[in-house]
Formats: sequence, structure tokens, C-alpha cells
Amino acid sequence: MENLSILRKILKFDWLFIFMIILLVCIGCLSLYSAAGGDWNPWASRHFQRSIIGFSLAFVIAITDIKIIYKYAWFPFIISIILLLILYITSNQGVNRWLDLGAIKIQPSEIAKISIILALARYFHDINIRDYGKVLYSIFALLIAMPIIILTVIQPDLGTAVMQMLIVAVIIFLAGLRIWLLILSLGAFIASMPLIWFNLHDYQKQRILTHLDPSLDSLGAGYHINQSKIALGSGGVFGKGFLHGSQSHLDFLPEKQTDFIFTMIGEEFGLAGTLFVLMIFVLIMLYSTIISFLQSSQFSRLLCSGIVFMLFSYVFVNVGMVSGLLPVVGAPLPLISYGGSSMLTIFISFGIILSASIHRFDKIEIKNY
Amino acid sequence: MKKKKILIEEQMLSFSRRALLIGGLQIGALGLIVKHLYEIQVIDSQKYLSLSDSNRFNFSLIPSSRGSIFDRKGRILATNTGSFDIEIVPEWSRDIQATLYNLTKYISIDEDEIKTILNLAKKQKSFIPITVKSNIDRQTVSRIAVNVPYLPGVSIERNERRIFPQGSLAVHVTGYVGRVSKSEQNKNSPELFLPGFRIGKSGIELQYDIDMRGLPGTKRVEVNSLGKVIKSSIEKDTIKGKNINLSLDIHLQTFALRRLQAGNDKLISINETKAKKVLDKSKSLAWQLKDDRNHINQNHNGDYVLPESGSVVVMDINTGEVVVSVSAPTYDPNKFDPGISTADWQMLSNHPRNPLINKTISGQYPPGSTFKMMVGLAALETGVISSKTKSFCSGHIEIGDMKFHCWHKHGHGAVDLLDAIAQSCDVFFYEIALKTGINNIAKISREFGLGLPTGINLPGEKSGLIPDRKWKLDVKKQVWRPGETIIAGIGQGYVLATPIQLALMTARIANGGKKIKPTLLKSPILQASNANSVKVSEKNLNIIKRAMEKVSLDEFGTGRNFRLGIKGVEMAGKTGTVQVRRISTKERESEEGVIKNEDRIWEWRDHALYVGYAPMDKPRYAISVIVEHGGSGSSKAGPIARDIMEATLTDDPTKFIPKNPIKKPLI
Repeated sequence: MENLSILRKILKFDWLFIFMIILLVCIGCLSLYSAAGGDWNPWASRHFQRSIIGFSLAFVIAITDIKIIYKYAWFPFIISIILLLILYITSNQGVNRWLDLGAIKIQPSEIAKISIILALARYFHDINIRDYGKVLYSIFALLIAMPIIILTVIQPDLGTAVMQMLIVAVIIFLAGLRIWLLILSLGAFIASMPLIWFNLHDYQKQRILTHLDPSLDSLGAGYHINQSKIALGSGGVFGKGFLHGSQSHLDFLPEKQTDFIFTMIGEEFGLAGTLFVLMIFVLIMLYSTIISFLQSSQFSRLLCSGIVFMLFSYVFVNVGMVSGLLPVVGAPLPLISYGGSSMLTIFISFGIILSASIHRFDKIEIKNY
Repeated sequence: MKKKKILIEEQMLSFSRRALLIGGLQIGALGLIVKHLYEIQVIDSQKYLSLSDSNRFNFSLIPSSRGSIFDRKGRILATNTGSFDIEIVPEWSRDIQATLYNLTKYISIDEDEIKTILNLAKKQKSFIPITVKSNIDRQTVSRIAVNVPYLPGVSIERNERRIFPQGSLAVHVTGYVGRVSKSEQNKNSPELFLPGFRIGKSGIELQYDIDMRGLPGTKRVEVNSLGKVIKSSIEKDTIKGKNINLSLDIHLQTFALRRLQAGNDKLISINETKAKKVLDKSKSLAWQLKDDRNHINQNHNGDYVLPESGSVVVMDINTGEVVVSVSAPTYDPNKFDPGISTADWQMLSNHPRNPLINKTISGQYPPGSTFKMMVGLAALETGVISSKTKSFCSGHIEIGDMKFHCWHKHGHGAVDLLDAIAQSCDVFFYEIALKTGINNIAKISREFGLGLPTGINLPGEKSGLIPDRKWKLDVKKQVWRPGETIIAGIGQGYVLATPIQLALMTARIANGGKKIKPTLLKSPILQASNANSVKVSEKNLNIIKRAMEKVSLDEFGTGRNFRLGIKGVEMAGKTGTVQVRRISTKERESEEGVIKNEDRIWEWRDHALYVGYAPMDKPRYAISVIVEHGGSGSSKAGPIARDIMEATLTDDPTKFIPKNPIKKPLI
């Protein structure tokens, strides 16, 4: 078992898992085709190209030994911090989330999500098993993640930062954080709410306020939520039909190719469509959770369950936002929304899951005991 | 080693527990999402579906084309022409004020207009477009069209504009159109809310407004979130408004108007240097003098004066069609759309001669001597006189302690009814009026259409006034006095009539007492053959007709100097000169006598009247002329009437003039 040939690894792939990923990409391409008013350009074709690149990357990661991933786990973390720092230094006033790398534009805060998971999984793997769940180590884990979270908040990208924070919290919790500390930190979080509120930008406050009552400002921030709900609701059970979503095609729907693509699916395919998409995500998460349970090392276990939670946070925040359950924070729907950075993150994540699945019996050495 | 293994297993167990907890929370959260989606997409689906449709579709009205107005020979009096208007929709303009200031680069908009638009934008719903400027020329349209992307909310609309090609010639008949005012808006007629929509405000435009409007069509417009039209389809076609064919003959109308305005004055072309000098001197005088003419009036003293004002009506005595309906001064109805300027409005409403009033139906004048036919007829009918009854006129008569004067200071001598009408002897009528009694005079007058609206198809008609005992008691709360009957005998005092009533009275005399009704619509139906007859004996009516003929034919007749210039065709009629102020005894008995008409200020001069019909032996047209403060009926109104009647008859000679006119023996 020590050294599987590449062919044997491919044979060990979880084909059902891959099939569901392909299904999501296809749904994404068709939705983008519809969003462009029945045109492969400008989004659907690019989405397809990107997913081919993504699949290649995932394939490479999948056949990479989990030990190698373990070995270089800090590497993406450091890269993310550097990218975020460059972004911070080069950005002018206002909102800047994209880093222009010449050929491609990437969103470092998206890449940072998977980096944090990798880094924390490695960190918790490396500490002495007797120290699992100890307060000091948990706080230290938090400190490790802090640079990325802070750099994301000051972009400012509160939505992504909150998601990163939740991922960190879940990993610390899964790593065995003592329950009393959890309660304490929850208390601290609630106590810090007013402080957070006063440090929010006006548009962020506005978003939260209009989320609470969208009719407050029907042509401002609440307009998006209202129009999105109208689109979803008018889809009914079976939708208006492919390419027939009037809300989407008449531009009442904002950002229909990115964050609001789920709304368009809801308008054209109704509740059946939305539930189908959600079901695929649930199946992927379920599958990944099972893989995480099968892991024999702390690193890969935390890695897989961290990724599951990240995937969940993407889906929950996105669907919650477009259906008016959560504030508009700007979160893409994995593999369906148009956008390179989140797709890159997701494909890296799926590559890791596949790798973990293939190498699930490989034991990563435990140091410091 | 063993301890470590236990630790690892414990740790595994802890992870599994915690992972399941997290998983459970995730399932719960997703359950919440699904429940929420179910609420939106299933339970509230209908609500959102209708919201989506209202997002998507706008029903917009297509205004119908307003019906045109033609004269009796099909010449256009009012029609529509395409007009490019600049409109702004407040909803799609982020900052109206800024956009309007940007627009000033291309068209002139003054501060007041901007203020008005901003006010309107505040008041009405933000999706209703507001007209910024109407009737933009093509060059400006293309300049703005290019820049529309930088002028949010601005659009160029092709609307219809009302034009009156004849200008001021028939304005009192056609009327004018204007914007819909707040009080005229009506929820049942949504087209009234369209910014370019115009409705009739006066005249025929108001009278037949509903018919002329037609019915608006509807257009279903699919719009995107920016209000941009993606697709539009016509749901319902417009129904064009009805055209109106008037009985008016615009050529005769023009002739009549110009003839009335000229009066007995000399016309000076405004191109002549002396006319230019006068016009340069006073702007307001220029405006009033010029009117829409190319001439100004110079009276026999060499003074430049305002054109004569008053009214002319020519009516077909068989069909009731009004061929000429002049009210002077006039104004240009084209000025009222899109909106008259404040300065022009001030000029019009403060004009001393009231151009805004249609004097033919709303001007009430004492009929003066033209009323004598009614008095004479009433006397004949009641039997107080016969056609042979004579009376002596010494120039005045004393009844009770009152002295009543004849216009002829030295008297007419012995006259019968025919002479009294021909020479317009007042004393004769004082006497017979007193004998006949006011109630009998009133009864006959009403038979001929006086004292009540004629029912002509124009809004704003006045009823004139034919007083009787009951009226005096009801309105004035006083008993009728005999002196008032005497004054009424010569058509003064309380008696009032409109020019259309006088024309109708004359027409009913001329057509043998057929109660026709005047109409401004072309209707060749011979009303006279079906209409009821007045309750007057034919014999008596013929006596009156003969008396009216004598006005022209008799050597002493007041109309002897203005007989028609057409060979063998004569006009029967009656002159009238109406005193508008009381002549005091002192003035009458002073050495200079009564101050001459021309020496009085305009407002105190006598009205000049004439009513008549022609051809005398085979009547076809009745005419009434009133020259406001024009002097005497025989010198001012009569000649005007003669010229207009001549023009009317020669306009279509084969039809109106008998080929072999029979020369009637003089009476």
C-alpha cells in the first residue's frame, strides 16, 4: 500500500463523487448559458474551460500522496498571506478584492479559505496528542488564522471573513476544544457584536438593516433581495422553463451570473430545480463526511471535515442570501456561479478529498509524543 | 505506547461525536433553507408571480388622433401635425435638475420652466413623463437624440400637435385645445393623463370634444429593470376621432371679418412707412391695431384707430346652417398649444374689446330698432293696429309726465306701420308698444327665438333677455311700469339679444315663420319644411316682410343707401342704432344739441346694428351685423351687411340667385 501506481490510484477514484462534481459544472454551464440570454458567451464557455483546468488540478492533487500535502500544508497559507498583503498594499481606498496577476485575476480571500483549513489541520496534527483541546493550543490556532481574517476584514470583505472565522471555529471545535471554552468564546462573540457594528462600513450596516426589512429601501440595497425573492417565488414548483426567466432576462436580477445564479435556477426550474441543486450539494457533503470518518490521521480527518464545512458555508450563505434569509454578503455558489477564484478553491478542495480518500490508509507520522 | 493508542481512540471518538454534531447543525440549517424556499416558491408563489408580471409588463396608451375640423367646402380649419417633444421620466432620471441643466445645452429652458417641471415631478407619480419642450425642430431633435445616453430619463416622443391653418379667422367657432387641467382629469379616461394629450377648451373643440378625441389604443410593453422597452405589441388599435364638417364657409368668414374690421375707415397697409411709424410708437397699440391683419385703420379725421369690433352672422334660412359667424376682435388659437405665454394671455384678457368672448352667442346687446318687427307684429296680432293705422310723429311724445324722443328731431309726420319700420320712427312704436303691452310683445319675441338660447351647437351661449311683468317681479322684485314698455318698444331698456338670436329672428321672418334652429354643422336638410311654425298669422308676417323690404326700397327708407349691387336682387332688412348712455334733457336742449356720436369716447358711442335677408323675393340668407359703438345702423352696420350679403350671394350665383329675378313693384 505504500506506493500505489498512478493507474491504481485512478482506479481507486470515487467515481460517484466525480460524477456529482461534473453534474454541478454542467448545471453551472447551462445556467450561465441562460443568464447570457441563450448564449455560450461570455460566461458559459469560460466556465467550461475553467472547470477543465480545475479538473486537471484536482486530478493532480488527487494522485498526490496525502503525506506530500501534509508536508507542504503551510505553503498555501504563506502564499495567501503574501497575496493578501500585496492586495492591502496596492489597494487604494474603497473595496478591492481582486488581485490582478496579469493573465488572471484572483480573489486571495477565497484561496485563503482552503489555506486556513490546510494550515490548521497540520497544526492540530503536529501538537502533542495530550494537548488536544487544551485552551492555550486552541487560542494559538486562532492566532494562526488571525492574519488572514484581519486582512480579509480590512479589504473589506466581511462576508468572507465571517465564513473564514466559522471555518476556523469549526476546526478548533472538531480538534477537541473543551466545551466550557466554546461557551466562553460564544459569549465573547456576542459581547463583541456592538463593537463590530460600529466598525462596519455604512454600506455593510445598510445591508444588514435592509436585510431585516427589505421594503425599507426597495430601489437600494433591499431592491436586490426583493427582486431575487420575486424571481424565486414566481418560479413556483416547476419554474418558467429554461431560458424563460423573465426576471433574470430583463435584468431585474442583479449579478445573475455570479451570486444570484441560484435565483435564476429557481425562476426557470422552480422548487424542483433548487431542491435538486441542494440535493447534489448535500450528497457531496455527505460523501465527503464519510471519507473524513474513514481517515486514519488527524491531519486528513480535520482537512476533510473542514472542507465539508467550507462547502456547506458557501451553499448556506449563498442560498440564504438570495432567498432573503441572510444579509447580502456576496458569496458564490460553488461550481455554478461564474468566477475563477472560488472555482479554484473548490477544485483544490475536491482534489484533497479525493486524495484523502485514495490514501486513507496511509498513516502520517505523529511527532512530539 | 498503549496509552497513546487509547488516547488516539478517545480522540477519534471525540472527533466523530463532534463531527456528527456539526453535521446535524448543517442538516438543520439546510432544512431551514428548504423550508424558506418552500414558502417562497410554493406558498407565496402567486404573489411573486404577479409581482414578476407587473415588473415585466407595462400597458401604455396610444393616444388617438384627434378629428379634424373642415369648413363646408372641405377646407381645413383644425387638424394635427407631427411634433417632436422632449419628455422626461422622473423615475429614470437620477437627478432631474442636473439633467434639465444639461438639456439647456440644446434647447432653451428658462428657470421658471425648470421650476414648473420640478414641481410637477414632485407632485405626480414618478413614472409619468413630463413634457419639457414641445415642437422641437429636426436639427435639435437629432442633436439631443445623439446625447440621450448622457441625459438619463430624457426621451424624444413624436406627438401630435393641433394646428389651426386659418389662424384667427374662425377661432370663436373652432375654439382651441389645451393641456388637460387637474379638474378635467378623469379616472375613466386614462388617456387624459398622457402628457401630450390635448382637449377642447372652447368652441366646437369643446362642444364635440368627446367625439373628436376618438378612443385610445393600448400597447403592451415589455420592459427591463431600467425601464428600457424590450418588446412592444399593440393590444388594441386606436380609433380615430370624428371629423367635424362645419356649415361655415371660411372664405366668406374671412371676407366678413375683414369687412367688419374695416368699418368705414381707410385701410393702410402695415408696409407703408406711416403705418410702421404708428406701430413702432406703441407696442400695445400695435398689437391691438395689427391683430392678424396686414392693415391698420385710419378714420376720416386721419387718426389711426382700432379696427371695428362686433359680430356678423349669416344664416341659411331653410337649413339653419350658420355660414358666417364672426366675432371681432379675434386671436390666434395656435398660441394655446402647448401653452400661451403669460404676456400674450395678459394682452388677450385685458384687451378692452374682449377678443376671448364669442360675441355672436355670448355678446348681449339691446336690439334697438331691429326689435321693431317684433313690436309691430305683436301689435298686429293683438289687433291694436292694422297695417293702415296711422299715427302722427312730431319728434317726441309725452306720456304721463315723461317725454320720449324720436331719433328724428323734427318728426316723421303721419306714418303707418310700414313707414314706421322703413323710416324707423320711434314715436309710432312708443304708442303701439304701450297699447300692445309688454307680455304680448314678449310672447311674440320668444316665438322668433329671442330671450332664450337658440340651442346652437356651441358652448357658452347666452339667452339674451326679453322682459315681461313676471320677470320684473321675480328678478327685480318690482312691478312693471308702463314707461318700461315704451322703451322696450324700440328695443332698449331691459331688452337684450345676441347676434345669433337676431339672425335667427330674421331668418324666421324670412322663411315664413318656420321655427328652424341654427347649427354650425354642415347639414343640407331643409329644416324649414319640417319645422313648426310660429303662432303668427301669415298675413301679419307678410306685412312685416313688406315693411322690411321698404327699408331698402322706399325713398325714405333707412336702408336706401346700401342696396345690393347685384342686378335684380334686393335685400330686406332693418337698421338699428342703440343708445348706450342716457341723453339728459339738459344736453338735448342745449344749443349744441346732442353731442355727436364721433365726439364721444368709444365706450359711449351708439352700437350700430343691421338685420336683413336676401334675396328679397326668394329669401335664402339672413344676416345680422353688430358694430360695437360703431355709430348708426344705416351708415355703419348696413353697408357692412350689404357687402357681406353680396359676397354670400355671388359666391355661388347659379344656386342662390334666381335666373330671371322678378322685379317686385315698389310698395
